[in-house]
Amino acid sequence: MAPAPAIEVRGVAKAYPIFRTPRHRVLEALSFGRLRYHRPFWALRDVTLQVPRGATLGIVGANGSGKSTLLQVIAGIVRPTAGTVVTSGRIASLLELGAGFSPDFTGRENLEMYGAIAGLPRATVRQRIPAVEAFADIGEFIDRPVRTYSSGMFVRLAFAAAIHVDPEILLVDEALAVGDAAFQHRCIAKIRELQRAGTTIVFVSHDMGLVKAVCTEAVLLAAGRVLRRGTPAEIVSLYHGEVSTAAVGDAPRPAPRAPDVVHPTFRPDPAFDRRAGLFRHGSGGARIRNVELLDAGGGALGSVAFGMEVTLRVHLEFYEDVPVSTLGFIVRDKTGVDLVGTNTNEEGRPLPPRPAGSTLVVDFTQRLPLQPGPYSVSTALAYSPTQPLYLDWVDNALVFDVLPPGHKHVHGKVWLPVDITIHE
Amino acid sequence: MTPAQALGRSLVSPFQVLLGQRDTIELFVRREIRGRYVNSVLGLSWAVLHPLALLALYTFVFSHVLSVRLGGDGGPASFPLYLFCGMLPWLAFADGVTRASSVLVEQTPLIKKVVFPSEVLPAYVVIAALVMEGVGLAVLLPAVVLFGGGLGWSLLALPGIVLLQFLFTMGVAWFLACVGVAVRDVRHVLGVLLTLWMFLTPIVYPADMVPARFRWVLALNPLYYLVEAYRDVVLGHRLPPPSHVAVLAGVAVVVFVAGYATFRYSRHVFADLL
Repeated sequence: MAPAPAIEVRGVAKAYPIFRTPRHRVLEALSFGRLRYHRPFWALRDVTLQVPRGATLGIVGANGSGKSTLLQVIAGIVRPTAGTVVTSGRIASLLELGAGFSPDFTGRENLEMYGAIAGLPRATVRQRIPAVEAFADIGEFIDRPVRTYSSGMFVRLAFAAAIHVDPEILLVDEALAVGDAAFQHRCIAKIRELQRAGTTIVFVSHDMGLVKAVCTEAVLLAAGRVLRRGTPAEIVSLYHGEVSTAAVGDAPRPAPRAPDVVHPTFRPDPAFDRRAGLFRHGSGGARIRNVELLDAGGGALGSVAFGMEVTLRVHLEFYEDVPVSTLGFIVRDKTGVDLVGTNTNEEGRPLPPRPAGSTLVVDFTQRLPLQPGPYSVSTALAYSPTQPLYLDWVDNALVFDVLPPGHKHVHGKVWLPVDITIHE
Repeated sequence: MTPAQALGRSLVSPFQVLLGQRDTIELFVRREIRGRYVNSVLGLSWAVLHPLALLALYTFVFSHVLSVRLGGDGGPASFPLYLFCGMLPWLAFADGVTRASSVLVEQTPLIKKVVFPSEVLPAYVVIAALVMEGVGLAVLLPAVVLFGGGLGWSLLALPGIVLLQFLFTMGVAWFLACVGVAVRDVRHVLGVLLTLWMFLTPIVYPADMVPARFRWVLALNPLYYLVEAYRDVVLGHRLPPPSHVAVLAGVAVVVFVAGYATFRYSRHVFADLL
């Protein structure tokens, strides 16, 4: 039997009620369920994950994706709206550096306080203070009021205090990226020491280098859901271009089909709708129902040979009368840089007026001599070529790889045809 | 579990929490008391000066301006002592519950960012207020020896009365701490309510000045029993009437248990509300 995980999160969801004014909160509470003034904001939805004992799990995701809430839920600070969290072992949370420090007291006094708050017996705290002092390395300031500290000193003391609590489970939120390079180095060394000692660590960070350096596993959160769990390198590269192979990952690659070069038909894809939901905004007056990448024969492509001519086919469905509209796309690399893109107006091919209930299939055909690697395509349908008002915008509509050219190296992000003349 | 066992457990478990966290509470209490005075010129002497200043003020107003008189044994010094003796438990109560109503908001980082037993926060402000009362008692008791009728064996009952006072204050404090998180206005309301409560309690006037038809108001007021018990054991050289002790003890235990239960029940939402 496998040993019980240190942290087990099962089906956890967390909703925060949003009230327009504090008065509404009171009115709703006093009505005992008869009145409803709030609307829920779901910070987490159906999160399930286990962290094995001794593992270090990195949590990455955009701002507002629910990372901090997840840590608070694991810590037991915030009670989930649904689902359960089971943890085994003493937890220390480093969600905010210096929480509980008071500025009028000396560093040493604050360390005693911090230890007590963290639940350590006083004798243990006294015993550890020299080690904390040495780690923080702030010299005689340890006996001066914390309000006289520079912000760097404060952070060093706070971090030193937190990391010397010696928990079985350590939860860290964005706290490691502090201090100068030498101090960071020491922090990482200390983390490794904790890892060797079998501490289970969960940490949230925007510092992808750190995630790769320290974590044994990582998860990508988006809009309160776990998009993908994997090796740190995998998750970091996903996070980096907001490339959503995670969203796409479970969907089967489109199967090769009979070519229909002659007259392509409108072909919506429910799987596309599902994953587009995560990355979509717009009025909804029309929708992008499918995006395909095809070779010259009309076969679906998952990866593209360097420089090969490909067709990006976009299937549109209109739900209102749209006299004028513009369809565009942009190809992004894994770090989110816009590389190639255009729209129908830019290229002098405006879309015809569309009545409600009609469909349209648009092909963009071009060569993609891009540096080998993963790319994502965003597509958008706008009301007008000049105003940023969108019927539908889908980020990460499609993900594909460019394969390395056999015969040469691609020095930049894009290779452009070049003529070379040598004059002797 | 029989109801008696259930009551026993609900009475014991808050004590277990408080005892388990006594190191933390002690540090908080020290920090609270030092924190109040650490940057002031007169420092800790304010702990004595503040009640003395109130004492002088109330003595002037009630004894000299409004001519409140004590029945019977009153010498010239006895009104200030009488007043001071009633004021000390009142101030500790009012101070404790007022601070408790805002302490969770003040310590938001501890609640939102640290795994921490938040019961400790109202507890430390209540205990800090009791420690401050201790400073006041250290002034009162010698004064009773020097200017009053001296001290009697009845003083030995004072710790028991202080314990009941603690239970009652603690229960109210836990309850108000919860209310204070949900409704921030409670601070403002509380100031008015406490002033009203103080004047309904025989602190600045003797209980026997209250007309008979209003005596029932006193009988409903737990602080009345508390203040009178203080005066009995410190000034009166007698134990409080057993019926009074029984009422005070009963109310204190019920409020303590109910306050703790309310806090335990509500604590899960603190982090959401702060």
